[in-house]
Amino acid sequence: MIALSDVTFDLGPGIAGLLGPNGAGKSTLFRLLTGLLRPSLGELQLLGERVEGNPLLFRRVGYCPEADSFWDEMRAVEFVWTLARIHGYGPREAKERAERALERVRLGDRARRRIGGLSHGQRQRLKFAQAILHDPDLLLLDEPFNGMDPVLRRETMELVLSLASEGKTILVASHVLYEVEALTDRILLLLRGHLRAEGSIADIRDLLDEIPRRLVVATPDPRGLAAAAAPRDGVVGVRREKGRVTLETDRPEEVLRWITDAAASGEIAVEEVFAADEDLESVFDLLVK
Amino acid sequence: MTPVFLLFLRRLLFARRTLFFGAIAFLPCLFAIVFRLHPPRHADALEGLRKFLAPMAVLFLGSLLPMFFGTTAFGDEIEGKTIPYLLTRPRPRLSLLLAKSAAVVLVTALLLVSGFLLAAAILRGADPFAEQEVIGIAFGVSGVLSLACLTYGCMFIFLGLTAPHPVLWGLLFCFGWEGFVGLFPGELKALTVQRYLEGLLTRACDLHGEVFEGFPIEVDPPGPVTCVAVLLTLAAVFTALSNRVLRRRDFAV
Repeated sequence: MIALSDVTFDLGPGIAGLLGPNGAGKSTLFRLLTGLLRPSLGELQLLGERVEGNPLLFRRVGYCPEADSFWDEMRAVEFVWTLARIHGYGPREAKERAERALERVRLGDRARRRIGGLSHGQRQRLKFAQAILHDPDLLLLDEPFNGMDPVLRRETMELVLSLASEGKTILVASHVLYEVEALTDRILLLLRGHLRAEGSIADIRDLLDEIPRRLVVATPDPRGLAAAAAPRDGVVGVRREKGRVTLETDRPEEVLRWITDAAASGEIAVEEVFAADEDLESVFDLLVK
Repeated sequence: MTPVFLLFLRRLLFARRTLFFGAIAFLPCLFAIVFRLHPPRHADALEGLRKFLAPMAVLFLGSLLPMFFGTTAFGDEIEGKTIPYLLTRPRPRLSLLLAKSAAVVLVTALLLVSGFLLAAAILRGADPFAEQEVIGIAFGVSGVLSLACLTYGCMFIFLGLTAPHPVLWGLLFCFGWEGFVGLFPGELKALTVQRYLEGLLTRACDLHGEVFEGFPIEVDPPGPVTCVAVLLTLAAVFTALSNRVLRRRDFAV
């Protein structure tokens, strides 16, 4: 079984979302990027350097793993301090960096608590703290918002956005689409081990010309609009509902032009038109199908 | 390497299993107390130390404790999914391995040597005429125990990195291969670690072909230089192999 194949992409400063359903290969990709897994073929490069056998690369890379695992007997500050020491900082600098990282993820007031006694959301932020303690250029975040309540999630998203605004490159893996949608417009869509699409949500949608798109037309006369639309070229399906008609089309721009013209000429009554599947969830569903 | 070593040392010292195996390491003390309270008719304290407690500590506990600590050294980090924190730092994997090995060897040696020295101290009072000999044996055996911890520790760290169910394989090795092979005639026993530990134990306790309570000692074991060289070589070889595995192994955690 091939877990990942032929995945190449460029990342610049800012946030990119790595999207895909469970089992798509997101975590596998992260493990490859961090050298936890070795590619069965070829060589992996990150920041222009090979990953394998190159631990110095991690001076510039921070990794927040998905698993909720810690040395639970430690206190939060001790955990980050220990990793800062392993990173190579002296005791004093390690302490400063640990405290700064914990403050940054809003765990400053929980720094002396044992990790075993922290909530799931606090533990997530603790993982985040260890990933940013060395001020990396590239941050790899594997499902960083798992288990966070909405307030905490929003705060952590703000933190990710602020890191991105400092010019850092951040790759966020998630299967929760609205999380990524709230962070960035730039996504990498990973499906069954293949990078299926890359770009903005709209770009990705444009790649899917072979998949009919849905245009929802709000109208006071659904029956009349459905009757007018059904015989037109490019309309492959019509569904009439109360107060609106959903048109499935493989030529959305052409159909949209017709709707606009027909509405202007009074042929059909139109209150509103919108694309039903421009949101990430729908794109994702379409690609998975 | 120091921070990694201190991290591992602390984790080992505060692990629950350390309490359990710490108690096992002090098993010789229990026998020493029994010996003091009910001395056998045909054996004095020195004999008890030479022929029973020293072989038990080196040949039984000296493989058992490093086996449990060694096989779980990286297993705990892998099963606990904490290994990514260690492997995604700008530090060669060899330094992690050396720190882990040092912590395993130090903790097992500390436990076993303390247990044995305490047992020797308990027995020392039983025979005032043999005080010097007891002290000599105690320090000699402590050295052999430390070497046992080093060699077995490195071997079992390698086993923990490579084999599924390493504790099971470790038990089979300790009580199957190491104990069983010695019963076969010929040179097969040269392929056991125990032979070289016996060689050193023979010198430390002045044992030659004596059998006591299930611990047969070889009549003509290899010399101490050969024994130390083989044990150190084994430790170095298994460390090199572990390093190779650690660098090449996939960690899907």
